[in-house]
Amino acid sequence: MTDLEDAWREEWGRLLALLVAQFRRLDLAEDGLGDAFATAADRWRRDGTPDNPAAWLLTAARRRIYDRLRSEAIARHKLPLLQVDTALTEEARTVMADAGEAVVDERLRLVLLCAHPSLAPEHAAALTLRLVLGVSTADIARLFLVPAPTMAARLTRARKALVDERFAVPSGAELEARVVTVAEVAYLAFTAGYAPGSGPDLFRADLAGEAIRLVRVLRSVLPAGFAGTPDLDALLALMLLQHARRDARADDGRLVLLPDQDRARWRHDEISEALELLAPLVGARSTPYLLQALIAAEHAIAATAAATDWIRITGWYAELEQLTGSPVVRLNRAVAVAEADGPDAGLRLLDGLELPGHRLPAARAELLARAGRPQEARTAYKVAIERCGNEVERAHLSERRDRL
Amino acid sequence: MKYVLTLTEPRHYERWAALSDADRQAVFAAFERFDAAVAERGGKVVGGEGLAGPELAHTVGPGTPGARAVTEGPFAESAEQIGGFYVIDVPDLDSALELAQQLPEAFSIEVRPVVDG
Repeated sequence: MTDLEDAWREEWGRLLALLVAQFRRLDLAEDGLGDAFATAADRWRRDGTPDNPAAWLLTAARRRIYDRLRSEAIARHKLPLLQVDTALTEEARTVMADAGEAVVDERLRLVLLCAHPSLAPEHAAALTLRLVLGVSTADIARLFLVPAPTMAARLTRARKALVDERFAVPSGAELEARVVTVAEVAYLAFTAGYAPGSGPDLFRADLAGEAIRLVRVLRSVLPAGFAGTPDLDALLALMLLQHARRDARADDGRLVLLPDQDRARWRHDEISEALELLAPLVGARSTPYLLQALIAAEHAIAATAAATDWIRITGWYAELEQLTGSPVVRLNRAVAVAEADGPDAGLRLLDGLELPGHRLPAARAELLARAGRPQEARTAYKVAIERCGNEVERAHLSERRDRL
Repeated sequence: MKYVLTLTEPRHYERWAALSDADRQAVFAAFERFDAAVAERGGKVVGGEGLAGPELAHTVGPGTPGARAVTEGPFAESAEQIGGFYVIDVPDLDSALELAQQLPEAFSIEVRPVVDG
C-alpha cells in the first residue's frame, strides 16, 4: 500500500468530519478533501510524502474549500448549512494550524449524521461508505450493483436530505438509537457483501470488509462505557466469524457449503479475535447479534463439520426465534434441528412457514432429499431455482437437484 | 456594453487562505452588494468565476498543434494573482467603474470592455 492509500484509509473519515465541522457543508468538505487527495497523488510522488500527511491534506483541503467558497460567492450560489455549535466550528478551524498536532476525531458526529432517521437504510449505508470510509462513488455503485450515475444521484439526494440537520452527538436514548441504526447499516452492507441477492458474484469480500471497518471505526469513536458497546462487540464478532470463511466458501466459482468447507482455509486469526470479543459476553443479556455470533462461533470452533455441537446451536436458534419472531430465523433453526434430530424434525419446523426468495424452498428440498423423498425434493428445488437471483447459487441448486 | 472585471491582489491565495472567518464573510458580503448594485443599475452579470490557485495552473506555450510545450504553473509568475473575474453588461463605462467600487476591498480591479460588446 502506498503512503497515499494509507492516508486515505486512515485519515479520510477523520479529516472529512473535521472539515464538515468547520465548513458545515458535506458537499464542500467532500469535494475539498477529494481535491486534496488528487493533488497529493501528484505532489507526494514528485516531492515525497510529507512529514505529517494528515496536516498536509487538511491544509490542502481547506485551501480548495476557501477557493470554492469565493468562487461560489462570485457565481452567486448560496447553500444551506448544517447546524454546528460555534465552539466546535472554531475548534475545527484552528486544528492543526501547526504541523504535528493530533487531529481531533469528529468521526462519531459524522457516523451518526449518516445514520439520520430521515435517510432510507440503503441510502444511509451508501453515504456512510462514502463519507466515513472514503469509498469512491464508483466503487460503492459496484458494491451495491447499481450504475455509477444512479449511485451518484442517490448520494446527492442523501446529502441534500441532511443539509439542515445538526452535526452533533445526541445524548441518551437518541444516541443509542442512532448507534443501533449505524450497526444495522453496517450489517446491511456486510450482508450485501456476504450474500448478494443478485448478480454474478457469490460474495463480495471487499464490501464485507468495508462493513467490518465501519464497525471498528464506530467502536473506536464511541465514549468509553457506552451502553451499546457490548452489542457492537457481538456484531463485530459475528461479522468476523462469517468473513473468516471467505476463502473456503467458493471453489472455482462454485459455492461450497459450510460442512464441505476446508477449515484450514478459514482465517484463524480473525476467528481468534472474534472469540476474544465474545468471551466477556457469554452470559450477557441475549441480543440477536450476540446469539448469531455464538452460533457462528460454535461452527468456528468445531474441528470438523461432524464435530459441530448442533444441540447447543439449536438452543441458541430457539432463543433467537423467540427474541425476533423472524421467519428467517425459523428457517435456519429448522436446518440446525435437522442436523441434531434428523430431517423430519427439521421439516416439521418448516411447515406453514412462508418467505419470499429461494432459501426456504432450497432448505425444504435439501431436507426432503435427506428424508428420502426425492419426488417432493425435485419440486422444491424447481421453485428454489426459479426464485434465485444469484447465478452461482442457482448453479449450485441445479447441481443438487440433478444429483437426486 | 459588456465589460470584463478582473480581480487581482498581491499573493491573493495565500492571504485568502489565512483570512479570519469574519474577514471572509466581509468579502462574501461585498460580492453580494456588487450583485445587487449591478441589478439596481439595470445591468446584468453575464458570468463570473472564481479561479483555483496558480499551483493548479498549466501553461500551453506558443507553437503549432502538438509542438506546444506544456508547463506546470501560471504564464507569468508575478506577485499579482487573479482571484476571479466577472463579465457584466451595463449601460456605460461609468457604471462599470462605479460598480467596481463595490467589490471586496483588497482587490485591484481591471475594467476592460470586450471588443464586440
